[in-house]
Amino acid sequence: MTEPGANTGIIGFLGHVFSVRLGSADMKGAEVKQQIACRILLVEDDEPVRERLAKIIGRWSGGQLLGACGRLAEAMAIIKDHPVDLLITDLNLPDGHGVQAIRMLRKTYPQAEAMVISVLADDRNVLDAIEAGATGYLLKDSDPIDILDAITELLAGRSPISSAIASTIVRRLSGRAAKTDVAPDPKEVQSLTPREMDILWGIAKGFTYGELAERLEISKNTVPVHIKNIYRKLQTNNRSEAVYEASRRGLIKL
Amino acid sequence: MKWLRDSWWIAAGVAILGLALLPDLVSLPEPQGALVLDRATFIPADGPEREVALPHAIRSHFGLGPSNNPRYVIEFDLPSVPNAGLYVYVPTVNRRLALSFNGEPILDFESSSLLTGSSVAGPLMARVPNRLVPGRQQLTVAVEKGGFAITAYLSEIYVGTEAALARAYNLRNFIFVQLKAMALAAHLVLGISLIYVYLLRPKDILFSWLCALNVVSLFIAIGVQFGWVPRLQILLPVVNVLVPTLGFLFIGFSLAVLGFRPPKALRYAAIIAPLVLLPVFLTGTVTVKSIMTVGDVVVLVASYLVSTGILLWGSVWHGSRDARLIVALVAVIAWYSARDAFVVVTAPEHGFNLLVAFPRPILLALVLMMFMRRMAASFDSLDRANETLNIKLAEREAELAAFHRQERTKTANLVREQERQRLTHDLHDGLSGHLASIIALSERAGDRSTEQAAREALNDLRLVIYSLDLGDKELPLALANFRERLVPQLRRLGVDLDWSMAALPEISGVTPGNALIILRVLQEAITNALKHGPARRIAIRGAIASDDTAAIWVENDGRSFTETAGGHGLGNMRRRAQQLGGDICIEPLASGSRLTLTIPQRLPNLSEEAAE
Repeated sequence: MTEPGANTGIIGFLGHVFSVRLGSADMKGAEVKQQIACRILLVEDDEPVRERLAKIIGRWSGGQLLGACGRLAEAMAIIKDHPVDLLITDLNLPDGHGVQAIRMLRKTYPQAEAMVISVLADDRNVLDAIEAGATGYLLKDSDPIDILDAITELLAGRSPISSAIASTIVRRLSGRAAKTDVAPDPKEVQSLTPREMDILWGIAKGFTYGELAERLEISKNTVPVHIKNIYRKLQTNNRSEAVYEASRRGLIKL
Repeated sequence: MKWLRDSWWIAAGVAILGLALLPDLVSLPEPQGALVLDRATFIPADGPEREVALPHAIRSHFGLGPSNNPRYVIEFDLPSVPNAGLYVYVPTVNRRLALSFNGEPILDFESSSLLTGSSVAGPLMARVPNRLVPGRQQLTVAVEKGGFAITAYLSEIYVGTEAALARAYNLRNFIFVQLKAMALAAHLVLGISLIYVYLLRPKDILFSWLCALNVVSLFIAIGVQFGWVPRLQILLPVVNVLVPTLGFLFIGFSLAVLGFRPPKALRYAAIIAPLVLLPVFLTGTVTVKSIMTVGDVVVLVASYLVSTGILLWGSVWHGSRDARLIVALVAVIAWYSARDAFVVVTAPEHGFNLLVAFPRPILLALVLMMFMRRMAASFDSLDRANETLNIKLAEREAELAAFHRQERTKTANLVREQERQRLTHDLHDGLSGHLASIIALSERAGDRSTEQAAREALNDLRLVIYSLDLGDKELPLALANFRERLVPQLRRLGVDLDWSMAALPEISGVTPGNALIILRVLQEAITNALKHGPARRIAIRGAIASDDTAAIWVENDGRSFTETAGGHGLGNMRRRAQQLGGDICIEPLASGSRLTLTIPQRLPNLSEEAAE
């Protein structure tokens, strides 16, 4: 992706646009894969929900459903044997946690994308997944149109964010800044640009994408692009398990 | 204020100087209109008689002088005998005297005066018997000189009427007998009270030195003022050998006033000196006794001078207020005792007055004042300490109370958070998952109404769960959450949403409970708008309503809607709004209607009110 330090002002913004549209290798790859049908793996333990989602995705021309699993082990086996472009997974599985599948996916296919299925899209669960490498989430009861919308948006480099998740991230980042006097190792944590911080703050304060775009004088459509970048920077798969766990606990209020 | 303090110092200096020079500047009046007898025939017991001038001193030459009991014989002519009677007046006598007039005894000093000691030099007046005839008269003065180092002294003698003599006699009697008696009484009273003070605080160095000083000085004062009373004469050797001890104790006292611990050597000297000196004095010859007496006085005067020096140093360089209080008087005492020693040895012609007894009670009074001031200071510091302690205590209590409150809130928050997490977890894994299943199943079966009901249930569940997480001033977050769920709902129905909360003022006092009430009112308003007026567009906006209230409008472009048509749902909404101290109001628009929810900018805490 782009140099985090350079993403300030208009040049920074332009840099983003270019990096997303032209410069980024994985975006190019995603667009290509989308054309040749995106290989999708669905993991959901609740049968009716799994059936429903499988039906919706199966009907979609842009995607190819590799499988719809109810257990983590099945999903891991598929990830091992078949290239996967997009993993859509529930978090609480009977034999494990969806985060494990996400981490394995990101390790095996670094270009692949992951989405979380959540019934509540509550901040903690989704953030856990984001730290494991997910860049989007689906609500279990969303309409088919909304589900496919979310998938195409994600593949086009745009991620959604709820104000609850944004506010938890903000809280966590300020907590981390307050807890450690030493600057975090830039190799470990890529710091957010001022623009990204502005967006995160704005969403946490309850502004809509439209209001935010107007205030920051950017296009409404680039807000989710920034958000996907934020998610990527929050990913902790390059850190040790212990650090991951510690930061996960630090995420919890009090 | 500096000049005032300076003038105080100057006045005090002048007063002390005046006191020191007083005996040499002021002379007491002599009788007017009386016969002055200033020549006498001096008849020693073992030598030739000779003519002498009065006043006359018999120097003892360390006890080796002439005979012990000399006589003076004075002859004079009396032209006429006054009707009122005739008196003999001797202004200063410092020995036991016996007077005879024309061979007839008229007075024995010992029986006429209370104070008969070595420090007493008082006046004497006696009436001459009435059987007088004009012409030559003879007055005989017998002096009991005794074995004392102090020079025997006889002043000139006056003979006259009572009217002529009484005033001079009374004045001298008052000053040198009565005032000295009073000084002794004061010394006794103050001394005893200071001994009592020591008993109250025996560990205090100053108090113990002062107590010892008092015991010794009282003993000596009694000795030198009554010492010639035969029954008390046995005390005189002890009084004599205690004089150096008095000096040592005074030095120790001066050091203690400044807060120093007097050296041990001083203590030992004060105890050992009399023990060593007493046997020497008792067994020694008159000469030895005389030399010892002079030595005692020299030690005492030197000690007074040393003490003056110590106190002067303390008051000037050490800044001791106590030392300043007494230093001048100690200087006067040193000066008076030196002067007394000089008078005793030389017996100067202008008077034989011993003064050191006068300032002593004043010194004790000053010491008492010193103690009073120390006591007041310690009371003050006690009060201050109390006050400080009280303030500190109150501070600590407040701190502790605040800490306790904090802890309680923290614990409550922790419990609430744990409870919330448990609840969320349960709802997430259980209820919401089931609802999602129901939605999927009913969709598959084409059961629209079940699906709708399950969706509403899930939405309501989300409303509750999201609001559980809210902190104060996080109403915008709750509203954003609400909007995020509203957007797909309305999109499904083909209704545009125009949402802006940018103008909503900051709302404080937000709790999960009261935020949920606001969200439910909005949910109800939207449900109404969708149900009653088939709207194409819904606008929701936050705004400031007044200085302390905020408003949220919900506008729809469907059928014009009036309050009367509201029914049950509207009453519910109003009741909820009023719970928060707000209200709702519905007004028709040209097309559609507008519902306004007003709420206070500071929301009431419903759970606390309920608890009350």
